[in-house]
Amino acid sequence: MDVIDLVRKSKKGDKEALIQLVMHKKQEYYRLAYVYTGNKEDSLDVLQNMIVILFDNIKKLRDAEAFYSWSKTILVNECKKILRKRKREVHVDEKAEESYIENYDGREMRQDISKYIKMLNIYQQEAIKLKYFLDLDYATIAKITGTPEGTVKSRIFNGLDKLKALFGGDY
Amino acid sequence: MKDFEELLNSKREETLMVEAPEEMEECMRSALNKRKKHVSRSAIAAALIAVLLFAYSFDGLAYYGKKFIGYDNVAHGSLKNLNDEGRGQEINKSCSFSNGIEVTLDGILFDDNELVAFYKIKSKSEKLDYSKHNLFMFIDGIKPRKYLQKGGEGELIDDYNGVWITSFGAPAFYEKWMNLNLLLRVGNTTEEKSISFTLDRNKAMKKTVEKKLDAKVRVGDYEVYFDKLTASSLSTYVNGEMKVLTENAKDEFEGDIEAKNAYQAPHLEYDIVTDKGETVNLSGGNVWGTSTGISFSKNGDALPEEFNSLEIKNIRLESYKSINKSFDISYKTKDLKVDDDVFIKEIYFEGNETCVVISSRGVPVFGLFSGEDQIKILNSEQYKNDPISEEPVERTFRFTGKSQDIRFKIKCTKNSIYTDETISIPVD
Repeated sequence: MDVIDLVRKSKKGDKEALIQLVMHKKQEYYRLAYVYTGNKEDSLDVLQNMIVILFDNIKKLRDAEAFYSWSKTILVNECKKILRKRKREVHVDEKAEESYIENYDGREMRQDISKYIKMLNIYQQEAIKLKYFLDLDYATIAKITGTPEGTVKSRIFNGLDKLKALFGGDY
Repeated sequence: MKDFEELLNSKREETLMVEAPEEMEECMRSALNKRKKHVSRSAIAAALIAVLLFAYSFDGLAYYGKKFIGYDNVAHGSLKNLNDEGRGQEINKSCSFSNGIEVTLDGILFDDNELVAFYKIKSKSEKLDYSKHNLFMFIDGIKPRKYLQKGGEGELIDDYNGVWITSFGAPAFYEKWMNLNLLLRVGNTTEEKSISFTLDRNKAMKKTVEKKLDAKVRVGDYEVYFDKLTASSLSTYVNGEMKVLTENAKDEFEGDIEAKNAYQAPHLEYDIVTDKGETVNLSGGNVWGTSTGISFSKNGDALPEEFNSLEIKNIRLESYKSINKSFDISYKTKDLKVDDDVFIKEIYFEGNETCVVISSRGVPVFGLFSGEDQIKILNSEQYKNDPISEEPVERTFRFTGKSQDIRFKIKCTKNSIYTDETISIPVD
């Protein structure tokens, strides 16, 4: 698949070319959305928001090769928007679904991991989920979250350190 | 720290179980095709309020509906009764795709729980083939989140015509103008069409019962909380939550519920019975994870017309215990232990039939084979014979012919754990 050619076509208003670009890495996009939102409906919602934003803004993308990191940054921003909205709604509807990670109700140790991850600050949670659940490298996490690579590293390091302390030093 | 990171890495395997759904591409395409130019929110809000104030005052002029013809084999229970009475809202609008397929939305029926669309599909050129003509539908209105398909049933009338009913999420109270969006995918191309319609609130099925249940029962290793019952002349919905009480049971629900094979996880069943002895037909349902446990929703037909009170009884958890064994058996086989819970008591011939007597705790799911060929069972209703008891039960399964050498292959047993507790629901 020629990414540069498809980006060029997308810039000219070719919607199918844009869809083809995203669908080429559909699992990566969907899992990224799912790790943030935790359910299918919200994941599809943010992906729809993302594709419209991509279409409206792709002319501003100078480096065609950066399409994937640029589009995933937009996806992450849309995920965060929906999470902020959901946080406001939780007070009204206590049954609001928790995230995929928070849903996990497995063996005690694994359950503890999810429980303790929730005790980290949101930046540490985000960095740890992206690194460990999606296997993204520091540079990619930095790009899609719009954070300097050094900051990502320190968030992960400090997050792990805090998790270790929360686990009572067993690990 | 290394072990700790490995524990975190194990989460990656769970994430890999999450697969992008088939409709992802269609959803994105639909969003792009519906893309609108930005208009300020305050302008939208002002326009919306004005339009709604104007529009809702005209519901009083609604017309009477008529029966949607051709749906007798696909509409059942309450849906069929309401359609026979002409209680639906007639729409009668069509859209055509470039390959000659035409969809006609005859009408809708809706309440606070769901919206059911009655539609016909007609192909003017090639034969209808649902495996080739992949039709995905959703409804949208003011609410940002779409109303997705929940379930449906269809019938091919002939090679070129089909009728369908499909249920969607219930329209929010503020909806008025809605669109049924149809995305027809043939090969690698998708075409999108839309049928707009206006909800007539006078035609909505009114609530007949809405009861806060607030009742807890324990079933095996689970606590089941029944939250609410909502019923109209179209449907009955019961919502609640389940909590896992023991570590053993937690393992059964380990991992993401949506990604897990539903075949393995225990699921909740119960009956709703009126004081006149009528049982409400509950045929649909859903489970999903929440912050506090597992939420469930079970739905079915409307409540019967005459009753003074309701009772939720026979509350049970059904699960499958995997066995996956096979044995060579013959008419000489007696008291063969298949599993701790399954025994073949005896095999005998009667007329031209082979009878297999099995004693089991739970219903055995098995087949008999002669060489590669499966022997036909004559009384398959035995598989549905699910007693309200946890004690072993003896069942006689009858098969055609009198084979000398038979292979007995058992997959699993279906087990039900019951509670004696019932929930009484007085109705005012």
